[in-house]
Amino acid sequence: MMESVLFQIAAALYVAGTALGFVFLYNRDERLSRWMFNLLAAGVVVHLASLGMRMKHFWEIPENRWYLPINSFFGALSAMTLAITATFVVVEGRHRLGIMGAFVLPWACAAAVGAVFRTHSVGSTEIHGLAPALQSYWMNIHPMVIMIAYAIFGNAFGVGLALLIQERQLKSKRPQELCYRLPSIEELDNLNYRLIAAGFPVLTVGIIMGGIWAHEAWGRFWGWDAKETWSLITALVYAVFLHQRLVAGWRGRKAVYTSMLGFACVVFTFIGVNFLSRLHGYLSAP
Amino acid sequence: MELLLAGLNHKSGVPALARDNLAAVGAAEFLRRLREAGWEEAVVLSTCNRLEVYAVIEDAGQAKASLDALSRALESAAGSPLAGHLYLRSGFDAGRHLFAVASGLDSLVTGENEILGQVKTAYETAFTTGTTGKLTNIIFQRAIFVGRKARTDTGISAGQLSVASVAAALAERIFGSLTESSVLILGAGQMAEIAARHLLSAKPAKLQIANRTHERGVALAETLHAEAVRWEDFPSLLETADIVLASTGAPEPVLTRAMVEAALPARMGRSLFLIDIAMPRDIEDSVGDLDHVYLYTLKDLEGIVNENMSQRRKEIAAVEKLVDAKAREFAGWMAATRAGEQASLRHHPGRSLRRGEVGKQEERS
Amino acid sequence: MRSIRFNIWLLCALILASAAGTFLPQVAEDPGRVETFIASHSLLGPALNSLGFFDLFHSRWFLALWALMVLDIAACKLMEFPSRDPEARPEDLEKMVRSRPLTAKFTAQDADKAFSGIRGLLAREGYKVRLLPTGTSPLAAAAEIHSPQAWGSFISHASLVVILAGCLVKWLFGFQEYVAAAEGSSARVTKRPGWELRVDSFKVERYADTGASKSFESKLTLMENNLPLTEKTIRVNSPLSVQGINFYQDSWGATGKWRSARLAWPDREFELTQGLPRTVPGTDTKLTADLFAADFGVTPEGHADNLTTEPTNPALRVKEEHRSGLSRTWWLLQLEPSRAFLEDADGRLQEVPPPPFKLAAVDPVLFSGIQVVYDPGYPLVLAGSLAWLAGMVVNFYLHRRKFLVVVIPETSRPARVLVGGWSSQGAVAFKKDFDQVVSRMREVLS
Repeated sequence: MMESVLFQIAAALYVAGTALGFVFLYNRDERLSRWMFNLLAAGVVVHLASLGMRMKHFWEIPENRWYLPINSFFGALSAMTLAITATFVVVEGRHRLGIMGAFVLPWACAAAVGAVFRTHSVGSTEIHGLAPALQSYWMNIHPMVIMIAYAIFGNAFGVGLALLIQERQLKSKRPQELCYRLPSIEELDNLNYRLIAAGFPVLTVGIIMGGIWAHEAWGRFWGWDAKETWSLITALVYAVFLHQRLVAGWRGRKAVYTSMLGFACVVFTFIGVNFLSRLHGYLSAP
Repeated sequence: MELLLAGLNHKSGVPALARDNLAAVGAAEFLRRLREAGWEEAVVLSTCNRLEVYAVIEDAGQAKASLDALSRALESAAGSPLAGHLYLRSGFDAGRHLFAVASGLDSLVTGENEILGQVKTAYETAFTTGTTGKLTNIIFQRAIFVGRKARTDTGISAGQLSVASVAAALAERIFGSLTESSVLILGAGQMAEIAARHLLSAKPAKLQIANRTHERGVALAETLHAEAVRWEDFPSLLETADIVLASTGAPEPVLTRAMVEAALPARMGRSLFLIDIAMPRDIEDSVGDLDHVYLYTLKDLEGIVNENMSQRRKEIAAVEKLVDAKAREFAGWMAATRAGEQASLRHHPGRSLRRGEVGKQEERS
Repeated sequence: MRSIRFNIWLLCALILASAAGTFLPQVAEDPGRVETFIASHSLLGPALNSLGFFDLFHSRWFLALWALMVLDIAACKLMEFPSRDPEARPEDLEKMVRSRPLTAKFTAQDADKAFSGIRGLLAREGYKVRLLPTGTSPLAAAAEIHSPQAWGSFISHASLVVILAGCLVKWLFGFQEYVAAAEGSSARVTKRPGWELRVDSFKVERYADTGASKSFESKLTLMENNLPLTEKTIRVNSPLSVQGINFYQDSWGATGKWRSARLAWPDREFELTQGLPRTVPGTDTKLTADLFAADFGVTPEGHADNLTTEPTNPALRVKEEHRSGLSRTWWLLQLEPSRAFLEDADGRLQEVPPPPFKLAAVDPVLFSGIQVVYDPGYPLVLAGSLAWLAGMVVNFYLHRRKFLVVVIPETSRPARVLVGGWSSQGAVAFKKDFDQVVSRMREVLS
């Protein structure tokens, strides 16, 4: 199917871009960074084309008009890939931090490759009719807001990882060339904080939107469903991070561990929960 | 047209007196003398480690005789015979040598950046004196381009080569720009001053000096426009100082682990960079194990300097290749122009060197 | 309790408790799994049960944690409103300025002119300028812009309390009741005596490829004391709202009753209704269909079982009686005609090759599952959520800035001007603008 082929091309471009990002860690040729961004941009264009085909197919089912086609594992992974890549291009592109490619883009690749595997294991790109509860204008708002938050947190995770590496380099008393090409510890720490400070309200707004939607659909704002609970846990972990930093003044390694735990919760909320929840699970029921 | 080169550098073994005499003449004066002697196109590169005369002749067959003339000119300026000390080159070799010099291959400190600026200055001086022409215009522009390319494409000029600049570079890896950082110097001796000046050039927000003998600290603080603090006060300053440079003559460590541990809670996880260039050590070794504390001793910094030097040496081969390739490319262009072809070597005779780089000259045209 | 450590520990406790609630089976979601779990963990099971871990999110200690959180928020953030800086004594002002994150100092010939010039400049920049009561020496003024930012954090934290208050209100005064009524029949709403919900008609459409629900809706009539109060066709995302009580189309399923079933032979078809025997034309066989299972399954002991009310595996029990006296009881699966089961006198099943007739279609009587909800706390939750967002936006995106200007007149020397700056964004982000304002101040003076 055309959509699947286009998506695989996009995934290949993302992987290629990420590979360049890794090479750029060790080779200071600026062209690598430029080409990394070029490949990512090309991937996004092809991805959008595949998304366009997906939407056309999706809307052939009357109940699906005019909603975003993310009611399946593939759809969600595809959207997540786009969100992370787009966020990376905007954030790291604007700050000229191509060196961060190796730290952030693997997540986009994981999502893209996961999506490709999904199409192979189920034999399609999972275009299904929307369940009645999902046939609401919230379908076009709530998941997107949450995914943007996830993408921002994914970025922050990469920044935190770079910070840990930078710290290790400097502690070793024999910093390698990578140390001089990565941003300073202060800059990484600051960027990590700013990303999380930006993502936290987005996540919380997304959770609130989910609650309002749930209230419209089922009459209850909050039901302690696994996905709801884990998104709350994620928000609480990042709240701990923000309190540690803003009130207790924590910086550096310990604060980064908290933020990384937060992203672990993001991944669990996005994927792990599907094995637990019946309401939100892509894997539990068609 | 043919390019000639007669020169000497730090490896030539020229006696000091001769070198001083040559330096005293200066590039501009030397060019003037050459012009009076009938040389229409010449550039003189004069630094403390080298003196090179690049000149252009119309007929390549006259190369040997012309080089002899240049040697004699140099000897008369030096006031002593220089036979055997000078290196003489012509044509391709002269051009290649210029590219190698601009790339830092011929410098005392491989890959040093100053020489590139000096090549530029040499060209500008020649331009002002009116001794530049088609060949020198193009080849010097090219040399500066090659010098820049060598430094971006390879690691020939990467890594600092002095303990103080390594320390400053590490500080920037921790804090980014040091303009928000607070620096504390323990000690007021010469080493402390050198290192302080390096850190000062990064324009830190605050510079404080603590010396056991307060008056010496005050004296140093005045020269550096810094703040002198009492020696007894320095432990509490660990709470606010981001960078601490220790260079006292004390026989025992003055900065203990206990002091740092006491200051850490107030720092709330902000990094602390400790530089210990004292012998014997001023800072207890175990301090380096603490979280968010980075301790570098003189040995560590020297280790990095050595590593940088050997890294640069490794890059020499790559730069040689680049210089060779560019020299051949240039020679090819010259041959093509001689044959009257339009060549693709982009140049605007004299203009691109002028724009921005030789700023003063812009009004002149 | 006012320490940040306590707050972080409390957050961690909530995190761990919530996580536990997603891994342990919960009665609200699946009581069967809970029972199985307790049975298979002889020590841990009953222990966790007594601590309320299988209804964790409604357990007393979990609610107590949230109550503690409310108290903690109140104690840490809500005890005092954001207030103005305390007035400083004139002798402390110089020190105060120097202790600001950003400072600048310069001189001015005319102290009064400089002071009023700077005040005017700040006023023009949008600052609210306040003269400090210091007399004539030194001259001091405090200027602030975007003061509301100071309220951002307060509002956000207060709104969390409002949200939790909304939950409390729901818990105390709200109710939730699941009412299931078959098509054409009605059911009482026990939480509201006198109310009865009648399902006039129920329609469900399913996707052909997966069998999942495409849409389902019920035409409802709400009756109060046997008189119609209101009626509406509700579907998911489109509830009925009456007197603050909402009726949500929650689910649907099979009641077990059925209107008609069609059996098919290769050459003909045959309709049956529940419990009514019919003789197959041209034979001496009588068929009677009685039980309908929407989601057919076999228990470990070998008995027929209806697993759920969702018609995922519809099956019909058909008794086959021959005049000769031979009788067999079949279970036929609508979606798997190649399989069939025989039920013996004890109700045990045995899988056998299917009979010549198969179950072609069944028209089950469906019920509509309606969630009746009264949530008086919802407006509070909604208001709190919006307030939280507003507070966050104000806190992070509104940049509150303060200038402290001190002019110290000197005898026979130019007056000294000290300027201190502070920003809620932090000194680094403010520096550029601070320097710009200071250079404009210098221009004003010259």
